[in-house]
Amino acid sequence: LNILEWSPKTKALLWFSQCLVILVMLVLSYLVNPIVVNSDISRLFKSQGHSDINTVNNQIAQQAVKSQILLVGNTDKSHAIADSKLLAAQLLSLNEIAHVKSTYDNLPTINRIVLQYLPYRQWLLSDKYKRLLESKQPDKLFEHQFTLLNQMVDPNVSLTLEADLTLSLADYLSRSYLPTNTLVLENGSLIAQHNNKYYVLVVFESNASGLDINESQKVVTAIKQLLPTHQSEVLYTGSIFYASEASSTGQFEMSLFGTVSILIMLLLVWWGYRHVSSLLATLSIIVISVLYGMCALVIAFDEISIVALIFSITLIGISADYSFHSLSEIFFTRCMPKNPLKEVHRSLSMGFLTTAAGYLVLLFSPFILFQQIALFTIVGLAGAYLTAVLLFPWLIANKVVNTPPLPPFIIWLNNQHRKLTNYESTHYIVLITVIVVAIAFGLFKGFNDDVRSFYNVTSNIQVNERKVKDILGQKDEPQYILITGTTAQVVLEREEELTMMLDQHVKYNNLAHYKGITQWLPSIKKQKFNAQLMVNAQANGMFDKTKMLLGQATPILRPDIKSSQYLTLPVWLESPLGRLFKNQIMNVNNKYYSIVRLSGLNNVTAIKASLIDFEESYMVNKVDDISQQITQFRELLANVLLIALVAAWVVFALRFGLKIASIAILIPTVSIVLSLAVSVFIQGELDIFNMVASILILALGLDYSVYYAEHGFEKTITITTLMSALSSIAVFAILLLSSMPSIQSFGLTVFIGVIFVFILAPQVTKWQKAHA
Amino acid sequence: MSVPIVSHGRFIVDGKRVLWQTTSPIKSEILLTDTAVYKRSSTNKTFKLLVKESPINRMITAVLTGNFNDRDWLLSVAESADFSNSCLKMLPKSPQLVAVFTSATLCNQANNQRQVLLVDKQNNKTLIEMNISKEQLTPEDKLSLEHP
Repeated sequence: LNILEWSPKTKALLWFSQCLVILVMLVLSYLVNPIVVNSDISRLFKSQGHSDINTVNNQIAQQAVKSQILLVGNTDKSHAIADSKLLAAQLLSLNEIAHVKSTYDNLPTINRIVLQYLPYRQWLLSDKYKRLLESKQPDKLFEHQFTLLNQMVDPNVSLTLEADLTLSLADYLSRSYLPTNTLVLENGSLIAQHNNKYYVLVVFESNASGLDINESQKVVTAIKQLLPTHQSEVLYTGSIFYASEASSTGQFEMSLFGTVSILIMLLLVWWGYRHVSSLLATLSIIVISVLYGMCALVIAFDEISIVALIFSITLIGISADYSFHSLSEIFFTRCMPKNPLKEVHRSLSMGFLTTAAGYLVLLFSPFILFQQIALFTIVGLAGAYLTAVLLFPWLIANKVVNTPPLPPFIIWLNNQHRKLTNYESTHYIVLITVIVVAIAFGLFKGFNDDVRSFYNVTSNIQVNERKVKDILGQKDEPQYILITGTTAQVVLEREEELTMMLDQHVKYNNLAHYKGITQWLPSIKKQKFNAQLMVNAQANGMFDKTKMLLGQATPILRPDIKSSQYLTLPVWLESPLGRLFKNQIMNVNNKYYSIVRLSGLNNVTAIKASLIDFEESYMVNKVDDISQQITQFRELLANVLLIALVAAWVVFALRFGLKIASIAILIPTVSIVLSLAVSVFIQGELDIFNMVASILILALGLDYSVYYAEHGFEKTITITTLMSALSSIAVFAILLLSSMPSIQSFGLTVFIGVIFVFILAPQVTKWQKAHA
Repeated sequence: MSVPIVSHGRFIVDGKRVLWQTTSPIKSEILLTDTAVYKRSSTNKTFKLLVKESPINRMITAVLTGNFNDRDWLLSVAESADFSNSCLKMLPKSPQLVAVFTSATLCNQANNQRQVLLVDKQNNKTLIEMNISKEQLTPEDKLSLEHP
């Protein structure tokens, strides 16, 4: 069954059949699972994993993604409140917004918190109170109790004193752990005062869980339309604002780069082949490859990153290569009408295999962004390859009556290229490479794997976020500690041990604060221990002075101090204070997870080092973890590049002999080194995208080597490689205009790499002649 | 409470700060500023932060230093318990304070005597009786008032 020998009509029929299957699949998968283009840049490098910890971390990230903050500020408090209520009502009328909160009547007041804890008095002790009991120095304990009594009108004391003469509960509640102390509740509104202005808090949640580009843009556009109608200043922050910006930038760049790339491609084709059928062929190959790529993405992923789509525009430049190869063969050679691509079939296949193999490496990367780029490109190229091999013989071959002459520029360029190859240019190439690399090595500032530097955010969003954080006094770090356990009590006990360690770090200024559930809910084990401590303290006369001051003759401890009605997690979570902490403990697959949030981190390394001694406790820092994974992947990529070079060398050696194989490998190698060196000149430091670009340079370099090795230094090959190089250069050069540094890095390295590959590739033919 | 809790000492008022030095039942010092409350025991040399940015303590500091205004308070003239003096009765306006605090009454009495009565929501009363003296601040007092 040799498909190549089939008639052009039969091949075209086969092509239409498989194309129909793909299109049906695309429509069906779109109907079953509508495509969601995600513009949430925080999830660009979301690594895939199915462990419970990953699920918990994703849930935590999801909570942050859904919640958005607005602050309505005015010098007049009543105006600020009125405007916040109006804004909340306007937001609620938007279909895309699920919840809006501008009034907070159910927030725990001091009275409600005290009443909630009163039944558990004397089982809850602050660390200080515990230390004083353990010190067995009644004077010191009395002094502490007196200080509490001496603070006038302290509700913690006045509300608990009658029930708890030990003042242990008053002391426990007096610790300054209560959240949101910069926000003051007034007539149901939460108000912060900052620089003579009153800011009222409005929080809203978007409807869907993900950040669809349309959704985020609709919401943000609607909000921004509302803002000028208010006299008050409105500050905003939240992932939806970042996503909206990323989506508008992404959509703009995608349509701009896509349109310009296609136009350049068509101009090139017209200039090179001057026939309508060549335009039709190139356009069809681009459309088909994009459709195939999209089909694969829709089937394989629930949501597609808009950044992946921008990267995928490069497919236009690569897939058009198949069109150029086929067109050159059909237009400029005396090919057989029945099987016009017979001579180039091998090089087309090898070209597809080398490029696909390069992208295959990315498909197995741990990052969704690279997986999506790779899948889109591989399947898209498969579509382009099938179109060239099966459709083109029918589409073009019969329609070309008169072969147009080669454009004079191609002939001139071919001559120049020949001269360059015929001279003893190898020495110059080696010399230039050594000099460029040496200078680049001197300028090289290292690799930048920080995921935050891969995208730009406009200063307006950052200024808003900084201002909101300032006003709300938020210093929360992205890092948190996750503690797991089989029961809630095990988790609480582990957290208590861990927070003792964190207290030491706070003492040594490695950390400013932390927020954990056990600050307000001790484990039952600890409550029992506290009860026993109180009993022992009474027996040791620790409370005698207090009793004397308060004129009490009766026992100072509650009679049921040894009862078992301790404060449990389910009861606490339903309390006014506990409700605020619901997001800090989770139950996933019968395992409990508690989160200790950190703020003001000064020494992460020290805290991480201490964590090693704690069971089932992990420091989670998505940004650092991803950056670390990028470092690992970058190192892996360098090794894969080496392996790919060796593999290609073996394949080339079997087909063309050792010498040609070695030169064929040296061409992409030198091009990669030179393009990375030039990237160092421009960027100072390299990132993962420069390395990913190297894979593409390798693939293109091997492609060109194959064409020259297979066909020699023929004019048709020159026009093919020239078209291919020009199309690639154009497509990747456009990426330099992107606002995203990641896309710029990628575009720059490939752009430079393709130039070097084009210049160096004919070197293969020189050795081919020598070999002959 | 069946027995009142009594403590004695000195109130030193300077600008927007109050230093409350108790001599009995124990020696201790509490420094009230408009942003925080600090405490120092007899054995300690330095003040330790007790409470920061608490509206209640800000209110007490305002009452004791006389830095109050009719924007935050409902002010009215009242009579002292023994009807011998005129007093200023202050009711807080802020809902946050209203939730925990009922009133403050400031009375000027004869012989440089002054009375401050604070009443909380549980009707617990804090009565501060002061003999006004115009002594020069000692260097230690000055140093304490300047903390932190």
